[in-house]
Amino acid sequence: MAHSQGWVKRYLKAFCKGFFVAVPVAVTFLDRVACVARVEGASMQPSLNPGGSQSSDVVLLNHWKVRNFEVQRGDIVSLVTIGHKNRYVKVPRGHIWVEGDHHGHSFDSNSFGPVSLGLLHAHATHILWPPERWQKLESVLPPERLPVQSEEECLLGSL
Amino acid sequence: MAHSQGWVKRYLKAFCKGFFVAVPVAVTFLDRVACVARVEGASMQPSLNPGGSQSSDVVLLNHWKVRNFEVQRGDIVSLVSPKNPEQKIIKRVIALEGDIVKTIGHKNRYVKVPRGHIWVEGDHHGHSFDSNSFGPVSLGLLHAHATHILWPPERWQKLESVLPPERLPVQSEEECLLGSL
Repeated sequence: MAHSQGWVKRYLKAFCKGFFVAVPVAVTFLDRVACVARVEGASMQPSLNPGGSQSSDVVLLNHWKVRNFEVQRGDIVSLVTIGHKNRYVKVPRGHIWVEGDHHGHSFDSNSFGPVSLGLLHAHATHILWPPERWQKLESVLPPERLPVQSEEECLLGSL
Repeated sequence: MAHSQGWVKRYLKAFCKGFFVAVPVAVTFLDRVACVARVEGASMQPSLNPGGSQSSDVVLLNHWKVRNFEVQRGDIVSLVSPKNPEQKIIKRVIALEGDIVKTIGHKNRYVKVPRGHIWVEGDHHGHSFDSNSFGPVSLGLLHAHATHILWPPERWQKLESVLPPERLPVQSEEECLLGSL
């Protein structure tokens, strides 16, 4: 009887130690360093999910890279999504403009306008799955999406 | 010599165990449950910092309450500044999505708060950088719900979710048309 009581007590102690230690360690890592996520939808085709719903890409989301809100044009980022009518938009201080690669099939800044940097979640740096799609995701800005150089160009463009 | 080597090894082991365990536990608690913060500025006077810069209030910020982005009109909340993501601001929730707000000093007289957004204002109108300057803010920027003043001791209190009657949302679109006459 004493032997079995000792067993239960040791088990509970190990469980509590594991739970109250392992969970915060894992949560901190997944929140602040990196996590993985399955990509759904067609808005980033052909870069992500070129096969449609048959095979979803799994990407590595790097939180550590965006801890100081440093992003470059062309980076693929994940954001907290929420809920554009002007032809030219100047991106305000503290904001970014994001678009899905699959124009016309993407709910992005063209719908909800510039996004506050505070909503930035992570930088998607690699495709981890399926193995035939292992690759580093390059920060590439399509040439037709380069920012407009000057305000004169806006006037010319609207002629 | 063997004895002192043993001492160093035990010390390092305890240090690593403490560091790699205690830090994530503390970080997870402070990020997801609650933390404290000193309030700076006059935008929430007289509710917070009535004494100005001489004595800043320290408030309890409750992250757990806003984990599902549930806020009520009148709550005092902290959020990431829409203009500077490295800064947090503390304001009162005046309106929720779908409400129509009569603005103070905003370019539009009436604003309907879009889906997924809230309208926040400092209690000290005219001395506050809030939605009247930067418009509705996305719920994704919500950081915590400020529930209590913890310091100084003479200001210990629970912060009530109170909406000043003059800041109630406009009831209907007809009221906007009447208001602009």
